[in-house]
Amino acid sequence: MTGQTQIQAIITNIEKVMIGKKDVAELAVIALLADGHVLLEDVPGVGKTMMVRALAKSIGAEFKRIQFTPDLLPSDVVGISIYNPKEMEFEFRPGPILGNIILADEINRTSPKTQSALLEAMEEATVTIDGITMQIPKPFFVMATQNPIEHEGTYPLPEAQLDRFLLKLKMGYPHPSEEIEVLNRLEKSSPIDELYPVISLEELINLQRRVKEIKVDQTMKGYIVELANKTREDTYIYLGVSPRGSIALMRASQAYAMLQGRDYVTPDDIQYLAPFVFGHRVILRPEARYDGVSTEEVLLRIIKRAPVPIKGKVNQ
Amino acid sequence: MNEKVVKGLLTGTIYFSVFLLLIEWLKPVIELTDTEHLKLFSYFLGISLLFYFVQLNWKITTPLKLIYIGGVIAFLYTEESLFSRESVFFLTDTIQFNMQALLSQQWTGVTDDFRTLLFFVLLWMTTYLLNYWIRVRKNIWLFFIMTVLFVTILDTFSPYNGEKSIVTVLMVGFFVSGVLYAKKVMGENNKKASVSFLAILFASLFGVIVLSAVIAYTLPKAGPSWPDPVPFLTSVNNSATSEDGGSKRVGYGENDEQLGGAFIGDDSPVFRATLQTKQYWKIETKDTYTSKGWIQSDTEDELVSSDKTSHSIVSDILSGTEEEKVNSSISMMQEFPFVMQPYGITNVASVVPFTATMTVANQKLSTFNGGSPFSILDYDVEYSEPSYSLRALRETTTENLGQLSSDFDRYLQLPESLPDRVTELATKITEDQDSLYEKAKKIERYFRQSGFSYSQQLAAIPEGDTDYVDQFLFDTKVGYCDNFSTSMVVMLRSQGIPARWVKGFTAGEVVQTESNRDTYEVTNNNAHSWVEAYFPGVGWMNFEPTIGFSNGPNLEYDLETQSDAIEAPKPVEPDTPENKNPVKENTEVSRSFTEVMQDFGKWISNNKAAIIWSLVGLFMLSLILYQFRRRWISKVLIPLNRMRKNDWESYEKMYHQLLWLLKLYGLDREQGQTLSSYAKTIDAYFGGNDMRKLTDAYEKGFYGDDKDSINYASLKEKSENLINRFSS
Repeated sequence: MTGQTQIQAIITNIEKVMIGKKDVAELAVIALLADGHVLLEDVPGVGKTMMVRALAKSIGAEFKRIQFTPDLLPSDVVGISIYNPKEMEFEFRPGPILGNIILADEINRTSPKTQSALLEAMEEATVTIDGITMQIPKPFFVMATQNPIEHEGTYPLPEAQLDRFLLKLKMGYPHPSEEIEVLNRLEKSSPIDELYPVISLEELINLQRRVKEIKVDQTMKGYIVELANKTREDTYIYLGVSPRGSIALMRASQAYAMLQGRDYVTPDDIQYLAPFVFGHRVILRPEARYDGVSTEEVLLRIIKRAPVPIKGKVNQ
Repeated sequence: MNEKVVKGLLTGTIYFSVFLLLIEWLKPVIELTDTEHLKLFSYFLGISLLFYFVQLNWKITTPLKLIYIGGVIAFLYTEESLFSRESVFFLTDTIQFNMQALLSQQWTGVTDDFRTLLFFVLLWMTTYLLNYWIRVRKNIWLFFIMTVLFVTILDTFSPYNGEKSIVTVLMVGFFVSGVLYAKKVMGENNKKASVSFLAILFASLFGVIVLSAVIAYTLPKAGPSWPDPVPFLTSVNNSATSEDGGSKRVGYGENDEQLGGAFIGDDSPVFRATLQTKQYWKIETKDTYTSKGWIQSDTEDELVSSDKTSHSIVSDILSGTEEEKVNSSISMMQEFPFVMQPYGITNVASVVPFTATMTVANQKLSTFNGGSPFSILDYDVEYSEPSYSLRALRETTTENLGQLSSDFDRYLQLPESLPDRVTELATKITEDQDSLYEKAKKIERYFRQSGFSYSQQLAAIPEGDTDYVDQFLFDTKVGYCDNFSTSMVVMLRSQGIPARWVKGFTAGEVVQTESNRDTYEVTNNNAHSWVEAYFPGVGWMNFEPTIGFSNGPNLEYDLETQSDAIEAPKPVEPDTPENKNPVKENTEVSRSFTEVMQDFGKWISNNKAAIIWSLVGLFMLSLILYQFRRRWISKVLIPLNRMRKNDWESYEKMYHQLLWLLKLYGLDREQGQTLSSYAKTIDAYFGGNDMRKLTDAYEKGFYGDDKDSINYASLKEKSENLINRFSS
């Protein structure tokens, strides 16, 4: 089985549960393949949990959910050492973060302290408790959700931490006809229970390795950097994309190229993914808000204006 | 409004506009060929177009048109009604006779009535073609362009005045193009011809046309910046045709009432003179300055003698001594009924008997035979160059002028409108000199120092109240001999010194040398004007104010002190237009860059008309090439691509060429657009998926660096398909 068919299989599997959300499913799988994490920003009840569970089930991975509340402590996330009077020693109780697929629900409802504990684990893929560092098993994929920040009682994620997410996605409401289809499917049974893994964890890890072998031409790297640079120079943007953002875009593009059945990245991949990768990494100036310009519009304008490299290749 | 009515109205407008344009074709043809009856031909055009407009069956229209043609011919040539017996016979006879003439290839034997018939046939064919353009092509752009060209060319090269025509043509042409385009758009989009759409269309069309016409009318327009091309073209062809309608050409002419304007060089020879030292050849003088040019006040003839072969001449220029008398033989190459006089002429002799008349007022030596003007072709002149005593010249002062007789009044004439600043300038130039001669000399040299330049092209024509001399002295400071000589005469007169304007030829070029005597060839280019001033006690003396020319009278250095630099023999100025060529030959090696640039500039100004016309030609050619680019580019590119190798480099080139072609076609890729999204647009436009396939392969090679697995041969085929598709 080629990489493309394997990925397609996962997406088809998710689609059995998630109706009309193929693009979100695709992007989530891309993030998984690129070894990154996803931030889903949307109101409750549009199927965020269902999506993650379907993804976890499709790859036969362990699924854990952390419901973030204002009183959640870092130890509730990463785990804690508890003194066992019987054994006369401290015993490590692993937290829910030590799993494969984690749904960090409503991440902006908890205190920054707990948030940073999660984000640190995400970036390093390790947790350190009482001086003991533990590797989180692979594959490790966090899908964090947050309510739109306008809602009350939230702690918006600091910019530095948003950078840890590979992609930021929005689910959006389904189309009325799709919503009816959702009701139809759930009328008698829950389809999530009928999902079976389509690939094994080993195969997934193998895919993740192969994604890194997808060719990124020098001109494409130049194009990515060009886009990132443009965000740093744009008059509407207060804070542009960091080099970590450029890396993220390259990784995601590689995964997307594989999904397209190609072994090289094209400008189309980059253009498609750039809004999802860069969207949460730039901060607009207040002027943009006055002018009614959204982050997405600013990015699309940048993409439209940056020349696509089509010739003049430097020999490598 | 009914849609049918609207469409009919639109079409009617188009036909009417085309009719107006056609009339603009007809007018010059009628005018230039001396054909009359513009109306009769116009009616025919109108009727034909009307028939095409209402789309009558040809079975009805053809006989009707034939009847009209027959009627017109019968009316014009027999003045009988068409249906009379005479007319029918006349027509059948005409056709029979002329057909025979044509069949026997006697083109000149064709009679006028038959020519009229042929002209009608031509008009018929024209309307047929126009109908095709309107109905099928829905584009009369070509016809419009041709009309503009036709009118402008006729206006330029023929006496026909197309000034009004061109305005009508442009306005009607733009209008009809706009309407046709709107019709085409409506046809393509199946758009209903709503009243509002039409209202907007007509309002905007009228708006744009009226606005541009008003702007064009009110904008200041520069006059033609190059000389009329007609004389240039005819001089290139060497076929000296009549000069009417064209601009001035260098040479001797009688009329000097309007001086100024560019001159076209003309090296057709006028005469040859064999003599020892070179001479200016004087023809006549003029005395009255009109502020625009010169006229002669009156001409009293003084008959010298009756017909004989030799005449002794008395001119008001005092000739030199008896011992210095020399001979010059002149052989005319153009006919002039007067004698070319060297300074100090004493005698004219010819083998043919003739009468010589020296007109005192203008010093013209006319020749007659049997009472009528007669051109002698070969004659000898005897002359002794006048010589002036420098001492006497120095002694002429302003006081002497008071004693002048009233005969000299006409040499002191100045127009009342002469601006004061001319006199002021002359006074300023001359005030530090005492003798009249030195004053004159100062004025003569003024032009050499004060930023004046010589040009046959850039001389202005004074317009309105502008004074010719004033304009030259203070505004333009560029001109040729007429400007310099006239200005000097006017300035001398303003200082009370009698002066007159002299016309003639300069010495010309040596074409032959034989035993101490040179033969000079004088051409129209040598036509010249200079100055004579009168000093009491000395007489008339010639001056040469034009920069680049030198012709000083002989001076006797009879003064004790010769410290004054004025009288030092004048060095021959190296860059006179006359002797430029020999000088140039000597210094050919060391020609400086500026000289080369000057030559180049000169070449440009000499060939301005040719350059402009070839640029126009090039422009038209590229316009045509551009217009038909879709046809020829594919024909060129497909074989070119077939010759390419089947490898990545060639494919890359071919692909980029394709992108360029598509851009040329008008399907531009934005810089932020990826190739594959562009390919989708292209394929959506032309159908098929050739561009998609080509782009996939290109991306694979370019971004994926996988150049070996591409099937170049099949890609070639696809690119050909694509090129064919958009060039068809």
